[in-house]
Amino acid sequence: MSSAVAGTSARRVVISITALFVLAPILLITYQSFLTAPFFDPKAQLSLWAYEFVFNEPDFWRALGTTAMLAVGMTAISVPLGALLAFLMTRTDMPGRGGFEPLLLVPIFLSPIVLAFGYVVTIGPVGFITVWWKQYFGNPFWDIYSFTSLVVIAGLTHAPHVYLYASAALRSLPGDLEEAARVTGAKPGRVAMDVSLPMITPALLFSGVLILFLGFEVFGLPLILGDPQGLLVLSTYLYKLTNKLGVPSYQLMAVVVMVIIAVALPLVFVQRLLLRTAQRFIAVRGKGSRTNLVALRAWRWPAFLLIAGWFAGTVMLPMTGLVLRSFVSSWGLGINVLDVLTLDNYIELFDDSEVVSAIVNSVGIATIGGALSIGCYTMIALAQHRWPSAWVRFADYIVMLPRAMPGIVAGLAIFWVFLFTKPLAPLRTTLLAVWVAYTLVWLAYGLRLVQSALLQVAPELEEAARVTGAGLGRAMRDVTIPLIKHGMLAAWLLIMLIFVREYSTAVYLLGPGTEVIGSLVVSRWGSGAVDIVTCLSCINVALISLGLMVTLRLGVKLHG
Amino acid sequence: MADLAVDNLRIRLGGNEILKGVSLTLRRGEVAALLGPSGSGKTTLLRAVAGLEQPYTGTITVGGTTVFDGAAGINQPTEARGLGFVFQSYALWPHRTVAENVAYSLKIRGVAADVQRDTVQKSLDSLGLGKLGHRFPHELSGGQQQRVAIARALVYGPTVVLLDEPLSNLDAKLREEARAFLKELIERENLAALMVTHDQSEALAIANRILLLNGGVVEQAGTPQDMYNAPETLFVAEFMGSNNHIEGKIMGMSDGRASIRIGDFLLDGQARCAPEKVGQAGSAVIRLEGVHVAEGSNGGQNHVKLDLVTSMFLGHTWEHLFRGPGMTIRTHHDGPLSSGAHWLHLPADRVWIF
Repeated sequence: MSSAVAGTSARRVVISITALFVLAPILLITYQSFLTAPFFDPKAQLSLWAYEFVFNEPDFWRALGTTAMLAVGMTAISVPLGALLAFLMTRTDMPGRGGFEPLLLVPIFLSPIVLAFGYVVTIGPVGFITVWWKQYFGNPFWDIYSFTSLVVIAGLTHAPHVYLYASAALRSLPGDLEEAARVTGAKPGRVAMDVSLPMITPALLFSGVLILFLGFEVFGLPLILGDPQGLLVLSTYLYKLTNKLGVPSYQLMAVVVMVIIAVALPLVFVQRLLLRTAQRFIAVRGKGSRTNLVALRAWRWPAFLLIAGWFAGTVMLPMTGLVLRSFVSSWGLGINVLDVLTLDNYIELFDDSEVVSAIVNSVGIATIGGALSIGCYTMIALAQHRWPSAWVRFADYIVMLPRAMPGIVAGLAIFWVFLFTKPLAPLRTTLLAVWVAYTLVWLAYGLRLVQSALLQVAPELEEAARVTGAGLGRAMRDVTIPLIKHGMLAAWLLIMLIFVREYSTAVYLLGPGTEVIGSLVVSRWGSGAVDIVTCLSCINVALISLGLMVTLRLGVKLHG
Repeated sequence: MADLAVDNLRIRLGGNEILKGVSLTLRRGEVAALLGPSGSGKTTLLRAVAGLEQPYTGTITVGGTTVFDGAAGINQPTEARGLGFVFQSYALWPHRTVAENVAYSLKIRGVAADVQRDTVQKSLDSLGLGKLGHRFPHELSGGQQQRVAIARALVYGPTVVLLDEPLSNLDAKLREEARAFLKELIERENLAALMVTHDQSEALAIANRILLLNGGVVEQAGTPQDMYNAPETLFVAEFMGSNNHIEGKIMGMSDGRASIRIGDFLLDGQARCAPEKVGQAGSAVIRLEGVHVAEGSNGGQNHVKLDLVTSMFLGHTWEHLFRGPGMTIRTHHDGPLSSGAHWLHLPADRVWIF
């Protein structure tokens, strides 16, 4: 329904560059997976050897099995929990709903690896709580490094994703649908089961697939919690594979990456399909005012305690432990906290030039890099904007592909692209490589943020500029972009939070000059530097909290 | 020479043919109204003239320049067509003041800033918006917004102006004033105006010419008087005005006259159907104001006695509803009527038989 005349060549150029940017890493990985040695090795030959090798590895199959069980297990925990949280928050008279609202989404913005550190220092073998428990009750009943703990922690920390979609769906349910059921004689519980729940089934189904997908991607939690017992998932298996044969075994890594993409890609498309269905249900936009909340009566405070308990266990517990650990010089059985309190950890932190540049780089990549990324996403969104063309449908699919690459995979792929492409090689050890990887990983998400802002612009506002004599580019510059300014600002803030949080993407790109907080804590944890890791994690959380406060203060919705 | 000429334009949107060969011409000082039910393609036609929709065949000529020719592969972009366009929602840019909205087309054309200022002020003055230049669109009333939209469309002097339901966003009272204002403006500025509307009374009042679209073709085109008083098809007769519709069997036809039988009542009227329809089912249409209450009558040709069912007071007149075997008739009358049966006269020259 719009002018399909001029300016198409600029659109084609932008979409072509996007396609190159997305396809190059994927094609390189595919090529590498069919070689017998790293692509830079002149002796490398085309063969299926790497596939045979990996598929004959028992460790690979064990990792695949563990990944599947983890994904299913955490889905089984977070979907019912998230749906319950959503129901209690949007539909009942539970006390303290207003206060919980922003807190519920916090885990989404916390780095999973930071949460994992938090759990280790609180309920790990020598964690604060464990030590205290041992003093009074003897050996604890839990083992943080077990598969069960991993599933439970992953499930608890991913519940907010479900909450996000379930609560949006519940809120948009027109109240009269439920009232109609009440009028015909159904009791509140009956209404929930017969009307509310079936109406949000698409949203729950979508979030279930989303969690399953995230389960295949998790890296931080299994790296920290699974490693001591040799528990590997696909992403950590990939990470460990780096030096399997003594030399860089790129071909084996490429095969594992191919497997990860092969599993993730169908899930991405199922999500896309389900999201459309879910939105169709949500499309019945509620008329706002809802007065009839379900009265919980005697269950009001138990419900409150459930949410408070979840928040305490998922956020407060690991965060408190993390902060405390960063202020003690050492910790173990029989040590009194008050004796070891110190600021030395933070003071020493600033003597470590790598740490300092990691902090500076993280802030820089989030603010300046984030702005540049939003600039790129806006260009792509504008190239697709109101252009009824096969190019746009092509671009729609292209931008989905990076979603099938977990951060660690995308980071690896970009690392290879910079290694493979001779003119780019000098840039591999600069922050530019990290920025490219971040921009690629968050392409689909960032693009959606910009696109939802563009959707708000009425087409006739742009057409009015065209009719009065402005060309396509001029109309975008003078009308479209000024009108989505606020949407772009909101998108920038959200991308900033996500870039500070990011840890796995930069792991393979870590080197002098490219260190960011996320990748540095992964590498320092490996060398056992608990003091530095907890301090850096606290700084990371502080930066994110600051960003979150600004974002909320500016009235930005936390979900695009 | 026509200032706007559209010839055999065809448009397909998503596999559906929306326009199936539409032609029209328009001169300066003329207002043509595109009238039709929703889905008839009238807005699509207007947007195609502006280059906002993509025809696949036909030609569009603006001021002697061919801006679209499907066969020759000519397709000028919207911005090069030099038209004025008033959007249904007005589409005023919320981030620009009234003056900036109006000045935009001048700015694009590189007009000097002081000339811009003078031209905009003159334009705003002539539309009664003189003091509102510094305001933002949301600070204006609906009627003022409409005038800004008109000022913006006309400020750089296009000869052809396209209006998409320009009055539909105004409330009823304001709409009548705006209607007169718009007509006067178009005549004063000597513009060629093409206007989309779904409101036939609006079309009758403003337009010199009406094109009634139905399913992507022009069902009938002509002056408002022709369209109202001499409809060629049942669709046109029913679309214009308020009508009574009577179903019956066509009994005979000669000299442009036909008769139709409803029960045992034989109604004469003007033939609007093919001779082959004699003996088949047909319809008679008569406007509400064509029917007279024949008080004191004792019957006669085209007189029928029907029971009064209900009456409604409309302010300037009364509307009465009569019912009898096989027909329901509504009519206007200047006073109330007693209950019971009344004679109605349906003059043969006001009845069309299809």
